[in-house]
Amino acid sequence: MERSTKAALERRLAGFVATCGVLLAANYLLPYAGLRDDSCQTMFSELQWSREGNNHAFMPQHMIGDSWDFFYDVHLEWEDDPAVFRQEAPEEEARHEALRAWMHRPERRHNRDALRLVVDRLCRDGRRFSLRFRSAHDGPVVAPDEVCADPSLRRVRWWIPVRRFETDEPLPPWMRP
Amino acid sequence: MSSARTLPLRDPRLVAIAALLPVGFVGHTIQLLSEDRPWDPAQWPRYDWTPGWHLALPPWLVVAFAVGLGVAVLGLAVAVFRRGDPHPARLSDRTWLLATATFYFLHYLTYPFRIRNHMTLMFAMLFVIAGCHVVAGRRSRTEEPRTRVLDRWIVRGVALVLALTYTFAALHKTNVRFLDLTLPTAALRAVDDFWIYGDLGHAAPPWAKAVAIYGTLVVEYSFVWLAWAFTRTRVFFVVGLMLFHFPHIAVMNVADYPMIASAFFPALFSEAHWRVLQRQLPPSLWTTTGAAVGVGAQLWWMPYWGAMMVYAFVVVALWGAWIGAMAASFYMRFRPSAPAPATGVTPV
Repeated sequence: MERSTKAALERRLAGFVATCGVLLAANYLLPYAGLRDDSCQTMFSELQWSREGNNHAFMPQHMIGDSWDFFYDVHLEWEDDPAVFRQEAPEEEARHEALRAWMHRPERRHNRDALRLVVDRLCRDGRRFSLRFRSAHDGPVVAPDEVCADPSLRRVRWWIPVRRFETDEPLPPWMRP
Repeated sequence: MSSARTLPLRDPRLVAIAALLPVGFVGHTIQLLSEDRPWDPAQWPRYDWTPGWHLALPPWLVVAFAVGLGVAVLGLAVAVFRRGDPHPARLSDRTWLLATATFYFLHYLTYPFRIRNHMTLMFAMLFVIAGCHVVAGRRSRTEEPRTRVLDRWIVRGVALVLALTYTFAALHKTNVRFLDLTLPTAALRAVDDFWIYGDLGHAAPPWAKAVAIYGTLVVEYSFVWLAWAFTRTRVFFVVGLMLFHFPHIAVMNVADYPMIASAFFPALFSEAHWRVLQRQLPPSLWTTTGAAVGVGAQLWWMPYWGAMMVYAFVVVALWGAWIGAMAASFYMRFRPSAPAPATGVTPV
């Protein structure tokens, strides 16, 4: 193997390894931008963040988008007849009921991306329903007229392959009734 | 043109990583199955409200990727085990390692539930391994000495991923809540558990909590880098990392992450240093004593029985043997040299 060939191979591999290091570091920094929490080595860290900032000793917090945020007091009502749907597609209808039950879990808040995903699915499956929720724990109740026509409630990021946040979690103690 | 057969792994550190990876995958499987319970119909709806690419695929394909990963890992374990008995018709350990990486990418990118911390660590490691093969080109898999260059850079990449992972784990913990020794944090509860289950007292004393909390930052920020950088003190930092992880294994029921991380510890050694250590790895008084101490410690601290706790015995036995081998190599380095055997012609 010629020296120049070997040097070129070494350069290519060094560049790739360095790029992997940069990408991995970028992934691990995502919590500080509100872009990911799962699998960023934050386990047992007690790192807490919100739009206002974080509890880190020196790292800044700058939220991008709202994938990290939650909907509160989510409630869904069918506007079509579930019995008809059950007759036509019993398995689908059972899955829809499971999704509705997930939304109605008491004293929990729901991740926005996860809820949008469910809304999009129900709309694509042809269900008619009404939805109400709060965008903030102490905010007003929102009840869109046409849920399926509201793009902000159906925004699904299909280009992101994996879950990034808890899909739902218990309300923090100070938010519980 | 040389033979197109993929050569076996050349670097002994990479061989060690390939041998330890299947053990790590056992922990990965136990954790995912025990927490996500995919056979339980009550868990199936979670599939639908979890964002990800799995929603674009039929569930059987997601399962098929996981099964494929299992087969690849089994193939890797067998290939590493039979390295001493090469056969032209048999796939090399390198091929099985690349198959493992491929199936792992598919498994990770379609996993329908929570992506654990160890999963991204594993993804990054296998991405470095497979990516280096792609970047180096096909000839690097089939021709010497390109293969050695390739393997050396893979090991460097793996060490870098390990160092970054521990550093960022420490970075996230550098917050006022983690460092507050008066709050009921998960880490402090674990310190108390370690104290209670070890029969050391009804609660950890303040000094033990301070050592655990500040020590965590010291270990995670620095030990991997120091082990990687300094040959003379390397074994102390590797032992330090294992001791740091022991409470996680013993009482926190998370033996999977430490095992997976330690599967890549061979990358922290220089090739020459690993070869020296490798001579001490076969069963000996040193390694069996180490393994017995590890198992004994786990028996003493273990709070309850469970799949992960049983797996923990394998991990601590392995680590005990490893520490025993490092102690043996350290002892061999400093023991008084025996008189050289007589050579030459025997006088008649």
